[in-house]
This record gives sequence, structure tokens and C-alpha cells, in this order.
Amino acid sequence: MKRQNVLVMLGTAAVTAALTVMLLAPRGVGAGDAVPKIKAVIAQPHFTSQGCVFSLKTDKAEYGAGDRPVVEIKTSNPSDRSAVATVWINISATAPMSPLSRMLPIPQMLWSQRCVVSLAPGETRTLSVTSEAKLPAGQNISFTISDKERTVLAGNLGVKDPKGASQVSHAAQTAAVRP
Amino acid sequence: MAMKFHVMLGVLLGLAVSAGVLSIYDGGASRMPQLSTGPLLSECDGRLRQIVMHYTAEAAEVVVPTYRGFLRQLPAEVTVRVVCPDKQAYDDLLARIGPTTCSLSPVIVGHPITAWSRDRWLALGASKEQHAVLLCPRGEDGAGVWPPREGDQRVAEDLAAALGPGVSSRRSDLYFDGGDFTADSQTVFVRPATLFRNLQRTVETRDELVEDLSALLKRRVVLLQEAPDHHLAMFMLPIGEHRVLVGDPRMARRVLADSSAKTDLESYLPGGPDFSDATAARFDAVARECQAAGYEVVRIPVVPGMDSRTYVTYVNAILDQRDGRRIVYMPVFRSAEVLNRAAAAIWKESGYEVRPIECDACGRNFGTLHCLVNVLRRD
Repeated sequence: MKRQNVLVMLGTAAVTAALTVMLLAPRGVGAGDAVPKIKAVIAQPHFTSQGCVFSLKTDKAEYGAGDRPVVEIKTSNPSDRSAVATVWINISATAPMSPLSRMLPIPQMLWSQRCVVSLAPGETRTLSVTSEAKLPAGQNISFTISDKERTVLAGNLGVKDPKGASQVSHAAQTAAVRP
Repeated sequence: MAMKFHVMLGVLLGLAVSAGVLSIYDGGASRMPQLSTGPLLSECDGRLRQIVMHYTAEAAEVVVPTYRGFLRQLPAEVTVRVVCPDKQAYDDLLARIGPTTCSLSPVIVGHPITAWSRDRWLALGASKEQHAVLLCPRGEDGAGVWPPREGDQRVAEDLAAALGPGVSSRRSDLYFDGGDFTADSQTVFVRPATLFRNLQRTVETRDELVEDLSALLKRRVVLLQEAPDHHLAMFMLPIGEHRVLVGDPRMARRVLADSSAKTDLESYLPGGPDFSDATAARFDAVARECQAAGYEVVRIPVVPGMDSRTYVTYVNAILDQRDGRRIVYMPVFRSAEVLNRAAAAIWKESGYEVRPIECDACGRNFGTLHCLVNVLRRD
């Protein structure tokens, strides 16, 4: 075999091996890699109370300041008996009081709606309510379903402050109110 | 023709070589700590070896008095990793702290962070010999409206990248703050809010959460039913030998009533002290649950503010076990000298050498020493 042929063969082999390993090798575990992948969140939280199953859906995935969310409450009675249930749908807000703060303050209730449903066996009903509260800018918003004994967080999102979310005023530190 | 033949031969040879390489190389999976993580680090057992603190120049007035008091008392064997957004911040801290016996080194992350290290991650398997895994939460509360908190979400990964092969990070399926947990070498106590943050979001039921946490943290899990709405180490702390210190606002009130010394709690705590029966009952509920879990409960004065966030607390401490002694770095408050003395006496009766750390400034921001310091390794 001529020297040139050997070089061609070895060169081709080197390029092939490099490309194959690069494409097919399992990814290295860098220090910061988050493996295994985290599991998906539960897409539709459910709240079971008084024999009924409640779920809550908002009209948007993201809101802006001043928006009034429309909340859809779906209630099912999976039992073979009639059921009457009362729950509260709540929207609460929390803002970082100070950029130096360790944690968010106690949330403040923006809106609470009492819902009483009466369902026949196997019946499902959907109710749509528009919140009376306008969402404030720069706050963390939570949607909850509660029967006063237990509460399920049905949604959690941040409403961006168009002026800059990091500009939390020191004056806000005096605004903490115990719920 | 001959050229084509040799190229083909080269391709075949290359494929054969790469097949051999791929059969041996596993992408480093054998080093993956996820396959076998150790248990959650105990708060009270073992010698402090490596700790992590955050520093930003904006937080100087809030954290420096506490950092100075703490770092100057740490022994030479302790290494302190200081997470900073930039090198200037680290230099600023060194200038403000002055000389220390312990050794400090920077971890420059290049993005905004808060000053609070404790809530960012949990240290798993981080004893002397084991690989340490920094378990960080699925997401941080308020990250959507709080840029430094958004940056906090990346700190575990920053640390793993900076600290080399002995440390890696892993993002949990669960939502939590590091301060939602406190552990000794047998049990991990979990804040009730952890259930609220995860139920019907990451787990279907309470039992599933307890099961997941037990598997993850490799300790018996006590998910508290009722507690003050704050991070655990603001009102309770395991102190070793199957004992737990639990805060007691009623005891604090008695101490204050029995003393003629003046305190300034009315102005320190927003809205003044919360000595209501309802609040005291939440602390009592924690004490009962710890007892039910088989622990001896020792009560200590703690005063929550009416905002439910600002506390005069003596359990938000860092514990060390060294040369046959137990040491507590205990928060103290200028506005509550009489309570400082009462709390120190209880720690001493519990077998601890007390090293007081000034926490007035950081305490106004809802956390004190324990919240500022995360422990990465103990011997």
C-alpha cells in the first residue's frame, strides 16, 4: 500500500471516528446539569371536598397589570348521591417588600368568591366568574380553591411591572398587613 | 478507484474505532451522583468544614455586622465560599470584614442574587468522604417578579461548576425553600407550607409528598401539620441527642415581664410583638408534634412580630461540634438584651458554648444567621 493511500485511509478514519463520537456519545454530566429531567407539573390541579371534585382554569396563562382574570370552576359529583358543596375561589398577591428581604411577606387577599354548587349524581357543571380585583403590577399572584379547612394552589404567576420589577420601594416595607 | 476504496476503508475503520470508544465511554454517567445521593446534612452533628454565604454590595448594611461577627469567630478549619455577583462585591466584603482565621474564597456568578444562601439548596450526602449534591428547588417563590430571586435559582449550578468534581447540583421535582427543612441525623422536619406549594402541582397527595421526600432526603420525614407561617429555623432547631429547641412566645413574654430592663421590641418588630394566644398555639403545636415524633423538646424565648415575618429568634443559629464541645453561633438583638441572656442560658443548659452574633439589621429582613449561611460539608 502506498504511503499516500495509508494517509488517506487514516485521515478518513480519524474524521469518521471524531464525527461519530461527537454525534452519538452520551452527553457528559457537567457539574450543573440537572439530570434526571424533572417531571411535569400536574396540568390541572384538583380539589376534592364534600364529595365533589373541583378544578379551576383561568382565561389566560399570563396577565398584565390591571387585568381582571376570568376564572372557570368545573365541579363534578362522581358519587351516586346528590351533593351540595361550598368552596371559596381566592386570588391573593404578594410583592417583595424589599430587594434585601429573605422571603415574600404574607400574601394579601385581592378577591374571594364563595361558590355553592348543588349537583345530581354523576353531574358536572362549569361556572365562570370574572374577578372584581385588578391585578397589581410587580406582584406574585396565587389562585387557590379552599373549603376553609384545606386549600389547594390552583395557579401561581408573576405580574411584571412595566417600570421594572426590581424597583421595590423601601416605603413598601411599612405596608405589611396581617391578613 | 483506488482512492475511493481507501476512503471507504477509512470510514469503516473510523466507525469501528468509534464503536469501541462509545462502548466504553458512558458520558460520565458513572460519576452521576443522582444514582446514589446521601442523606440530608444534619444541622447539629459533626464539625463544620465548608459553608456558603452570599454577598452583594447592596446588602452590606444588612449583612455585614452579622457576617463580621460570625466569620471572625470561625476556626481555621472552616472554608467559606462566598457567592458574589462580581469580584468587586467580594473585595468589598473582605474590606468590610477584616482579617479572619477561617479561609474565604469567592464564587463569582455574574448575575443578580439575594444575600440569602440557606433557601437555595439542600446539601445531600455531604459528609467528609461523600460526593455532595446540591438539591435545588424546582423554582423559587417570586422569581417572576424579583430578578435577584430569579438569579438565586441558578446558584446551586454555579456552585457545582465552581467547586469541581466533588460537588454537583440537581434540580428537584418539588417546590421548596431550603428553610422549609431542618434535620438531625435521623429525622427531617418539614414546614406545612411545603405541602401547600406542591399538592396538586407536583404530587397528588400528602402521602406522595412524604414518600418522595423520604426517598430524596433519606431521613424519616415529619411533615408538620401546624406551625407558624415561616421557615422552620425561625422557630425550631434540632440540637442533637434527640432534642429539639422550639420557640415559645409565652416564655418570652414572661421573661420580659419579670425583668425591669427596657427592650425596644415595639419599634424593632413591625406592629410590635405578637403575643396572641393563636400565635403561641402554633408554636405549641410544633412542640407537640416533635414530642410525638419521639423528641425531647426544650422551649426557648422567641418573639414573632405582628407582620408574621420579623422575629426575635434564638434558634436561627449555626451549630458546630468540635473537639468534644458543642458550639452555637446564636443570634442576638440589641433591642432585646434580657431575652438574649435568657436564651443563652437555655443553650448553655443544653450543653452548648454560646457565641453571640449580632443580627439586628438582617433580622428586619425576615431572617438571621441561619438564613444567611448554608452548610455544604461537615466532618
